[in-house]
Amino acid sequence: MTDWIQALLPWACQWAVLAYFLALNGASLALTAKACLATRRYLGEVEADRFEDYFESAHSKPLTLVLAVRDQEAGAVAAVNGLLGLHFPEFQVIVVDDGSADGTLQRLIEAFHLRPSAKVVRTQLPTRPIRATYESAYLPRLVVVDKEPGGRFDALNCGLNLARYPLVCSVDAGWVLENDALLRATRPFLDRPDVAATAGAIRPLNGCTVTPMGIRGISLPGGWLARMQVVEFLRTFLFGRMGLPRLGSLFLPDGAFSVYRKDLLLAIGGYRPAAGEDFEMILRLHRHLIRQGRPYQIVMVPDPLCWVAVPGDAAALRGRRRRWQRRMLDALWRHREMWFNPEYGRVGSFSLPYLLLFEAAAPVVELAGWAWFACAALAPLAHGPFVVSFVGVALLLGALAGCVAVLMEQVILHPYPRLRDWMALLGCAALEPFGYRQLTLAWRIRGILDWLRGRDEINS
Amino acid sequence: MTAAALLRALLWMFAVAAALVGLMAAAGAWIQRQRDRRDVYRAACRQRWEQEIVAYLYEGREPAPFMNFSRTERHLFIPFLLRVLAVLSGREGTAVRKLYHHARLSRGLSRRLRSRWPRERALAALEVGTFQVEVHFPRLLVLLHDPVPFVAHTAARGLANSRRLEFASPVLDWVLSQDSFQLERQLWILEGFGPGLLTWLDLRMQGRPNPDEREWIMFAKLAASYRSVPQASRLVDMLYFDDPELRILAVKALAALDYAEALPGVWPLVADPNWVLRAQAATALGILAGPRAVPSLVELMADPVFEVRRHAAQALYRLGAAGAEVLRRVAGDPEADPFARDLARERLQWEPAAAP
Repeated sequence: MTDWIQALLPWACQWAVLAYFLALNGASLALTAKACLATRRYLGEVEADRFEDYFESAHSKPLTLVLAVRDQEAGAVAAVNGLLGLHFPEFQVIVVDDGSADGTLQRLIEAFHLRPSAKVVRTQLPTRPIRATYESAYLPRLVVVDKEPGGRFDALNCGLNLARYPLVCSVDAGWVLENDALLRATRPFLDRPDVAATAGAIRPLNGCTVTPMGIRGISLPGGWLARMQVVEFLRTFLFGRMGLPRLGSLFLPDGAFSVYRKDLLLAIGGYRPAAGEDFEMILRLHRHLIRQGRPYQIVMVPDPLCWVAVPGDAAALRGRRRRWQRRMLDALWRHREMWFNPEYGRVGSFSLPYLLLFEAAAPVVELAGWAWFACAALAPLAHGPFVVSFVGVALLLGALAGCVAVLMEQVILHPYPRLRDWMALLGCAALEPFGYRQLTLAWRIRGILDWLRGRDEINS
Repeated sequence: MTAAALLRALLWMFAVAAALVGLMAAAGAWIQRQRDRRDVYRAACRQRWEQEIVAYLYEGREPAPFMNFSRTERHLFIPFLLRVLAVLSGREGTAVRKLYHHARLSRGLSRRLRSRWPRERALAALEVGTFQVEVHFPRLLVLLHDPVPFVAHTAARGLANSRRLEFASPVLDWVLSQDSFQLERQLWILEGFGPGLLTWLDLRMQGRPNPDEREWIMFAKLAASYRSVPQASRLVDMLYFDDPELRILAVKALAALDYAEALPGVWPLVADPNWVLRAQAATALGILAGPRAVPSLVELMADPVFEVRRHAAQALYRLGAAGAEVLRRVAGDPEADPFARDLARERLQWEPAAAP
C-alpha cells in the first residue's frame, strides 16, 4: 500500500501541476480571444456612434471627480489643472486634502484663487471632521476640502458626501487621463440602464511624452522591467478583464480607473478601510446587487483612458506586487461566503473561484510547480515526460499566450506607432515566463506572508 | 526516456515556439507596414480634400476633384465627408449632401446595408441617414429589427435624422420596445425628428385611450428640450396624473418653458408626500411665481429632506433681491431651523452685498 502511494503521489502531483499550468495559460488565451471579439465589436459601435456627438448632447450624465491628495505639494495643482481641462459637458472636481502636513492646500488656494465657503455637507458616509471647504469664483466646478487625516478611503468617502452628480469617479494625482476619457468611460451608462460601473483600460505612462495638452507620442519605456509590466498590463488588465464582463463577472484591479453610480456606492457604504479599495468595492457591489436580485452590468472600456507611471526599479515593483497581493487576499477573505456559492450566480460559482485559483493562489501553486520542475530537472531522465510537458505547458504556452495578446493588441488597437517598439514588446512577451514571472511570483508570496501575518499598511 | 530523446523533444518544442513567435512578428510587422502606408495615404488625401472642400463650399468651385475616385479613395472620402457634415448645417450641409450624391458615393450601399458584418451595416445606415439617401430608407426600417443593438440604434438615428415624420411611428415603436437602451439615448434619437415630432406625438396620444407611460415621459422631456410652449397645456394636464414620475417630469418641463399659467397646478405640490416632487416644485415656483413664491419657499427651507431644502435655497437665491433678503434673514436668525440656516449661508456666500 505504502509503495503504491509512494509511486502514485509524485505522478499525481506532476500531472496536477501540469493541469494547473495548462488551465492557467489556456484560460489566458481563451480570455484574449474573447476580449478581442468584444473589442472589435466595441470599436465598430464607436465608429458608428461618434463620441463628439455626446459632448453636444444635453442628455449626457454629469459626473463628479474625486481626487484625494496628501502631502502632494509638487503635483496637486498640475493634477487639478489636468482634471479641469477634461473634455466633458458637465462635471465637478472635488479635491480632498487628507490633512497634508506640507503646503498642498496653500498651493491649491493660491493657484485657483480659492476662498473659504460655507458649503453644507450632507454626511451620508461617516468621515473624519472637515476643517474647511474652499471654492473659487472663477472655477465653479472646483471644490477643495480640507479635512482631518483619515486615509485614502476616508478622503474618498468625504468626496462622495460632497458629490453632486449621479456618477462618481475617483482619480489619483499621478494619473494622466486622456482628454475624452470621461466621455468614453460614461458612455456605457448612457447606452444601457443597468450599468452599475465602468472601468477603463490603464496603460503604463513610462516612455510616453506628456505635454500640458495630454499624451503626445506613445512609445515603449526604456527599462526592461517597465516593458515587462506593459505586457503584464496588457494580458491581465486589458484582455484578462475585457473577456470577463461577457461572462458577467468583471473585477477591477486595485487602483483601476473606474466610474460608479453614486447611489450604489452610497448604498454599499462607500469605501472601506484596510482593503484594496476598488477591488473590494466591486466585490461588495456584486454582492449587493445580486442579493437585491437586480440585473446589472459592470462594463470594461478597452480604450486606453488613463496612463499611470509604473515602477521602473525592482524595489518599487516589489512593494507594489506585495501590496496588490495582500489587498486582493484581504478583499477575497472578507467576502469568503461568496466563494463557490451558487446563490451569487456566475460571480460565486465561476469568477471568484477563477480569481482564487488563478490569481490569489497562483504564486503558491506556480512556485510549487517550479520547485517540482527544478527537482525533476536534476534527474531529467527519470522524469523525462514531465520535464518536456512542463517546459511546453508552463514556459512555451505562457510565452505564446503573451505574444498572442501583444499581436492582438497590434491588430485591434495599434497603440505603438513605431515598429521597433512593437517588436521589443513582442520580445518581452516571449521572454516574460523566463525569469520575470518567477520574480513577481516570489514577491507575491511575500504579499501572502504579509497578509497571513496580518500586516496592514494599506492606508498608510 | 533517453537523454537524446529528451533533448530532441525539448529542441523541437523550442523550435516550434520560436517559429510561431517569428510568424507573429512577421504578421505584426506586415500589419504595421500596411497601417502606416494607409495612414500616410489617408493624411495626404485629407490634406488635399480639406483645401478642395473649402474651395467647393465657399468659393463656388465645381465639385470636379471629387468626381473620379478610386475605390480606396471612396472608402476614405466617405468618413471624411461624415466628419465635415458633423460640423456643418444649413446651406453648407446641403452642399455637402449634394456633393455626396454628385460623386455617386452611394454605390454599394445596398450591399453594405445587407452585409454580414454589424459594423458595416451600422456604418451604411449612418451614411443613409446622414446623407439622406432616400432610396435606402426602407432598408433602414428593416434594420430597426437587426439582432445587433447598435445596428438597430444607428438605423433609428438615420431615420430620425431624415426629419420625415412618416418614419416617426416605426421609430417610436422601436424606441418603446427597447429595454436595453437608456432613456437619454432614446430621446437623443427622437430629437433628430425636430420639434414637429411633438405635435405628432400629441396627436398620437390623443388618438389612443391609454397611451404608454413612456410616451408621456418622452413627450414631457422633448417638450422641455425644445421649449415648446404649444404643448404646455398638455403638460399641465400631466400635473394631475397619479404617477409621481410623470408629475415630476411635467413640473420640470413647465419650469423649463417658464409657463406661468401652470401655477395653480404647481403650487399644491409643495405639500406633496413625494420629496422629489416637492424639490422640483420649489425650483418651478421660483421660476414661475417670482417673489410671490417666497413664503412657500421659506417653508420648504425647513423641509425634513435635505434635497428639498437645497432646491428651495437655490430658488430663493435665483430670485435676486427678494430672495436674498429672505436668505439673509434666515441666515441671521438663531431660532431658524439649523439646516435651513446653513443652506442660507451657503447660498449667500457668493453674494457679498447680501451676506449677513
